[in-house]
Amino acid sequence: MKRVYPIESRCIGCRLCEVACVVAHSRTLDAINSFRLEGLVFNNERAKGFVDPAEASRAGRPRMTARCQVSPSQPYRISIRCRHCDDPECVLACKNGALYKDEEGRVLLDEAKCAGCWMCIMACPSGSIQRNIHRANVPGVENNGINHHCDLCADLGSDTPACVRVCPVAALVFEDRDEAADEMKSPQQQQEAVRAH
Amino acid sequence: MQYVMIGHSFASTFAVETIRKIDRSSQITVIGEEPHRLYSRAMLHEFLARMVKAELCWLRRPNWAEQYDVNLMLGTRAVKLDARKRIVECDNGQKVPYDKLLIACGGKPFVPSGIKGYGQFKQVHSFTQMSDALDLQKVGEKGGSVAVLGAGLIGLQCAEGLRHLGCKVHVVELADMVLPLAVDRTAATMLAQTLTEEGITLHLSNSIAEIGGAGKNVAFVQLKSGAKIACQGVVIAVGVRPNVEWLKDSGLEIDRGILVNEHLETNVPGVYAAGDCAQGFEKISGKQMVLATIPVANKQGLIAGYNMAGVPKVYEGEIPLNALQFGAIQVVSYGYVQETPGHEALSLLDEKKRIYRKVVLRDGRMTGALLLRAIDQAGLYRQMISKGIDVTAICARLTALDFGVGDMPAAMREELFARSPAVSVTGK
Repeated sequence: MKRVYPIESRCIGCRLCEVACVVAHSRTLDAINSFRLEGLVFNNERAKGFVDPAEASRAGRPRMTARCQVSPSQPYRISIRCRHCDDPECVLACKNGALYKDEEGRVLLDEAKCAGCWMCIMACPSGSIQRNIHRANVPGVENNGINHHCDLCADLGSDTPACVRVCPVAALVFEDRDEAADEMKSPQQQQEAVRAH
Repeated sequence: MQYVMIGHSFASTFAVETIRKIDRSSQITVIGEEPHRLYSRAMLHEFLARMVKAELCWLRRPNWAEQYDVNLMLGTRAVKLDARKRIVECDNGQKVPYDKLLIACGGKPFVPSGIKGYGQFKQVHSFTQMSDALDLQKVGEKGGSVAVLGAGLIGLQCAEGLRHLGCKVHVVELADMVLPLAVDRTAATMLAQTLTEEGITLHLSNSIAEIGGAGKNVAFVQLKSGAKIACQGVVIAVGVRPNVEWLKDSGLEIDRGILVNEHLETNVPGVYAAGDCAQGFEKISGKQMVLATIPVANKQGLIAGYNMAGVPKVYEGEIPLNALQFGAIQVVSYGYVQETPGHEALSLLDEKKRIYRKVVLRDGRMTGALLLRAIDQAGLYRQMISKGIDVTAICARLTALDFGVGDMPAAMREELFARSPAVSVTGK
């Protein structure tokens, strides 16, 4: 399947991918309007590593965390996001079936179901899961939030994810690098592929 | 082909879904002890506390059985396995023949002997099943006092649930710290503080000597220390053991759990085991171990499903791992987090913010990691521990709050992000 691949040697750590991600998932789809009308503030603190959810929510405007992440303070800059694994560890760890893999191979979240238990963060081998602290389905835990990960801009009306489109140095590409892709498909899909040929 | 699954929770669900990807026509029967629809055992405390909508507690949609064409036998307990005739006998007298069998019957709560009065009162429960949660809801909603024996994961989650219902909760633990098996002393101290702030009373280095009451109703517990606590309910949560006693004469090789090979098959051909009742490979110690946690159960179920359906897959083993949450403290742990001789520990502690990050190393490789609150990108530690990566060069950054992918060795960064995700199970 097509996935977003970062090209480390090109990345300048500008974090425009993160901004574009927040805007693409906003209601107004515009950087200025999402700030002025929706009150969204791009969560800049994320770069420092840990953001205290309680502090972040006290700060007034909802600080949105992008679904992708660059950490400029680390020795190497690399823009990371969910890889939509073929064997998603997060789906295997999810404690109530809120995470699932759809027919197109995307790992998606049933947002109304996520209990914010963070088994997914514990499980994800590439550290690609963020927290959306502005939603919660389990009351009683302050600013715990729910799973927040790349949805490949599914159903947002473009073939190419927003982060890839915005990258000024072409350090993000959206392409299919699956080798021997046929072998990974289920027997049924393989048969269908043969028939279609 | 006749597939039979004993158990109706995580492992058997993934096994069924995997088999159905490959085999659409064979019959699949699931034998489940509990009468309830497929639910998540890990949501029991939230269910108990009525904190969430019921939909969050169900593991799959209501039509799951129809969707996967599964013959459900709920409210039925398997009581005997006749491996020679390939028959499972149930408590209702039914005999279920199989060609391929998955034993995923989970664990059974363990009750320590020597508690005077145990078994005499109505409101004494374990906390591993839906029925326990429903019973405890009745106790808890009256808003009385409840004593919980055991400050392990289950005991503390139950305690938080009961507290949320408005009960006074007393947790009694034999060890001198909470979560003695899951975290280290520093983390336990911070968690104990949080639990105390929530209004839970901890009685450490103590135990319940006697449960007392009037008629069938609990009225108090007497602690080993002599203290007497008035309560209307008791929860025994000292631990869960693999539910394997009923297999004693089956011919299956059993240690603590059912011993399985790299295909999750037991010593009896055609019989597989997965989840909390299985004893599979643990990567750090190199031993076979029961790892009673959701990701392990699911992965074992998935791989057992492939093997049962005739597609050979290898279970490479797992490491101990878990994610917990108490109050506003999230905890992620991997491997072995206590300092033991020959191991070196690095840590970062912010007691005010209750942030704690600790890694345990041996010969330049990680054997454990424990994270409190600052848990983002935790999975990278899992990856480094599982793969036995030499972390000597990045030691100084391992506990930093902004540790992340950009700190990983080049080979790992490439593997994680430049290549198509490695297909360990569903591929070739």
